[in-house]
Amino acid sequence: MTNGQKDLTTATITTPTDREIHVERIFEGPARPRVRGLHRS
Amino acid sequence: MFAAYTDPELIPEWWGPRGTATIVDRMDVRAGGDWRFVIRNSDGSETGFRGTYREVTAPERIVQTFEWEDMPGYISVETVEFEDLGERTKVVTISIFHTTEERDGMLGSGMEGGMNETFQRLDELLERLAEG
Repeated sequence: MTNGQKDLTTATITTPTDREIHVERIFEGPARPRVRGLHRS
Repeated sequence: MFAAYTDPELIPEWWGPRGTATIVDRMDVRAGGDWRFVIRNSDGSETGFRGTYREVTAPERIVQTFEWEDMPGYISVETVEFEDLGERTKVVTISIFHTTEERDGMLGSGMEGGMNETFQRLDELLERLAEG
């Protein structure tokens, strides 16, 4: 399901069971919701 | 990162393929609250997506149902988990379908390409927010 790359910008898709899809992706930026205080364009 | 998924002002900036506009029709981000997004294509046609939030735990977890209005009744459950890696975040999305056929239908729908494009848009949003 994946193209085999480990590039951070490529999501990894797996199907651990016959009814599930798992997608993993790493993003630049903290998990904590500090976005609210930031300026938006 | 968590806010990108829960702030109705940020959703239109990344949710959906490029070249489309996403309208947040409803977004009541709490357990039991409903959400509905409409994607407007360049030709003016629209398609809707909806669901209900089952759990919203900032900043690590959202559980919600997901239904494409063109295929009503085919409802999956999505769990989105945000793993804190410091200045990065690993986002794991687990979708559970009623049947294997529904799951395979999603996989065969071009989901992977659309998802990567959507995630690229999210990358760009995060970059803009980081720049302030």
